[in-house]
Amino acid sequence: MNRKSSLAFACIATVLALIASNPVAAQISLGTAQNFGVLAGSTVTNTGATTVNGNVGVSPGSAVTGFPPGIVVGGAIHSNDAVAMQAQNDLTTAYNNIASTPCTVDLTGQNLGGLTLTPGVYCFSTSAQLTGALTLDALGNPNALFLFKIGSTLTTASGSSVTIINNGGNSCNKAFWQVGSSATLGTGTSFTGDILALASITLTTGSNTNGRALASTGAVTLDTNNVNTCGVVVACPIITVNPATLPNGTVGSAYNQIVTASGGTSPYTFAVSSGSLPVGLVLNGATGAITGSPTSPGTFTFSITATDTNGCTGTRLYTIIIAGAGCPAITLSPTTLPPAMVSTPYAQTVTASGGTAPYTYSIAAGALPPGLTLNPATGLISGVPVQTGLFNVTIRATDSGGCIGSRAYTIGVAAFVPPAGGPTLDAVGLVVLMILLAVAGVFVMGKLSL
Amino acid sequence: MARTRKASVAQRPLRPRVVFVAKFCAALIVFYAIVALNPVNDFVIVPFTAIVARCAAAILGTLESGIQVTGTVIRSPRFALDVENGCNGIEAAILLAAAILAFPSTLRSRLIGLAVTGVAIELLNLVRLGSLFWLGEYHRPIFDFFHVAVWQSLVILAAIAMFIFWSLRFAERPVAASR
Repeated sequence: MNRKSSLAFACIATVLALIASNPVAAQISLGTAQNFGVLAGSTVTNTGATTVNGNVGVSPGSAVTGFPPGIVVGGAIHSNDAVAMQAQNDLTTAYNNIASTPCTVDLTGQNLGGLTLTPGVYCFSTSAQLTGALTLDALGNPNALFLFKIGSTLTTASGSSVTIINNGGNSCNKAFWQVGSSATLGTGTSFTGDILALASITLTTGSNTNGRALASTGAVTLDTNNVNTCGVVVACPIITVNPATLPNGTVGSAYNQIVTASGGTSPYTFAVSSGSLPVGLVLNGATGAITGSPTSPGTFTFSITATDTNGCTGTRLYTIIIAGAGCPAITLSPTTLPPAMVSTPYAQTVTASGGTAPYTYSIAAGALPPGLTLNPATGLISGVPVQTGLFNVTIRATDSGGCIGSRAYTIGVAAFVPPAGGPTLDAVGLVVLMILLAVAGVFVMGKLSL
Repeated sequence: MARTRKASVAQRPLRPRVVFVAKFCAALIVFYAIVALNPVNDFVIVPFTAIVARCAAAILGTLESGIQVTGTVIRSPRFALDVENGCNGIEAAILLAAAILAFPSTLRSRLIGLAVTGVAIELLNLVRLGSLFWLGEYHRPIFDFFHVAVWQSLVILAAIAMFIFWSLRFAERPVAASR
């Protein structure tokens, strides 16, 4: 680019800046799509050491390839799951919002290279081309917004760049590129802004974007890129699944409990992530209801994972004991267990009653303090604790008829107070030795005629 | 013949034996006064006790893994023992030393007796600590019995035996006495 053309571009940029002197202050909401660094409609294909900050997702397609060698930082891969579906819905909404925003400047036919633009809505009725450097001057407005509405394709030449200056220290979420068909970033391009493409997005080798690559219907193709979600940290909150425990059931009796989740963003979905529900019970993934009628007795341990709308998860481990039909109530005693002390032998027997002896004892949930064991035949909890703390354990007793009872215990293990080694000789021992030495001395002297 | 021997023993002068007992008591008073001094306690007794604990831990460490010592506390995953003042064998050694010093003998044999019996008492105490630790780990119910009854008796008997053995076999008679 020679000096003359540079001057022309500068003049155009100045004019554009004057025309677009009314900074756009509205904000664009991406909804849940903001948690994605890459989102595609058909496929996500990566080659080389690409780093994506945020989620990688695809929906309604499901193919995500090239991870690894690509890596996802601060997010996860969502392959046509509920999270990706919701993000695509939100992407469509955001795309349409931008598309409906009136233009402030029509740049159709104008190459963006060499321009300095101030906040506004810039429109291209057909394609947009960037060759060289595009500077977006936020004029110090932290809420400045640059919207680019492109009728068909967006293409950047190799080594091009988009930079936001005077951005008030934050260049995140200030530029949005609504692309009517496909976007292609040339080799080595350093791009800024979120690309919302109706069709596909291609980041050729070594191009980096300080923004998201969100394709509504087509593919996102990556090749050794850095995709930075621009300050959005996909930090999941702690999602708690409640209640802490589920009641036991009985074969043939209707069972109806609901697990809920909190801490994340509704709605949640629920799934059994490990173990299995008692035979005959089912979990409603949308409501968290566990319903049905157990068909076989036993102890069933399983985990239920709740996933919020952002894909953040929380899990809780449950144990449900299903007693046989007609089983009596089996109770365990004592109701509490005495505390233990590290390095000190511990012995406490749990006994069952109400059923038909003999009973067998086992751990239904939780764990005994390290160092202690449960005798399955006698119910004796014994051993030498080696770790301080509070330990929750549920002891289960099964009678000869297969009927089950259980009780939850908390065993506290206190720190060990070492016993004194004790004097080599206590006061009595010292006096005795003193007397004996004196007597021995006298005796020996007599023996030796001294 | 036996009557003659008994009579001769009875007729022997009491003074040397009284002197022995007096010296024995005096030595005890001096020794206890010394160890009661704070500087002696702080700079001799306490460090020595820590050394005893470390030695006992080292011996235990050759027999089992996981033995640690912090200051005067010996610890394993199953048991811990605090070697306090009085657990270090010093008092037994003091009694024995007082008896040896009070007994009529040459300085050389006294010094040898002090060194040998002192080391023997400390070695015996290390065995005591090691065995008590082992009992605490694996036979805790009988720990206190061995601690209070068995080992005290063993230490007393060992100290008496050492003194009698030394005084009968190794205590050289002073020149004046041998004449």
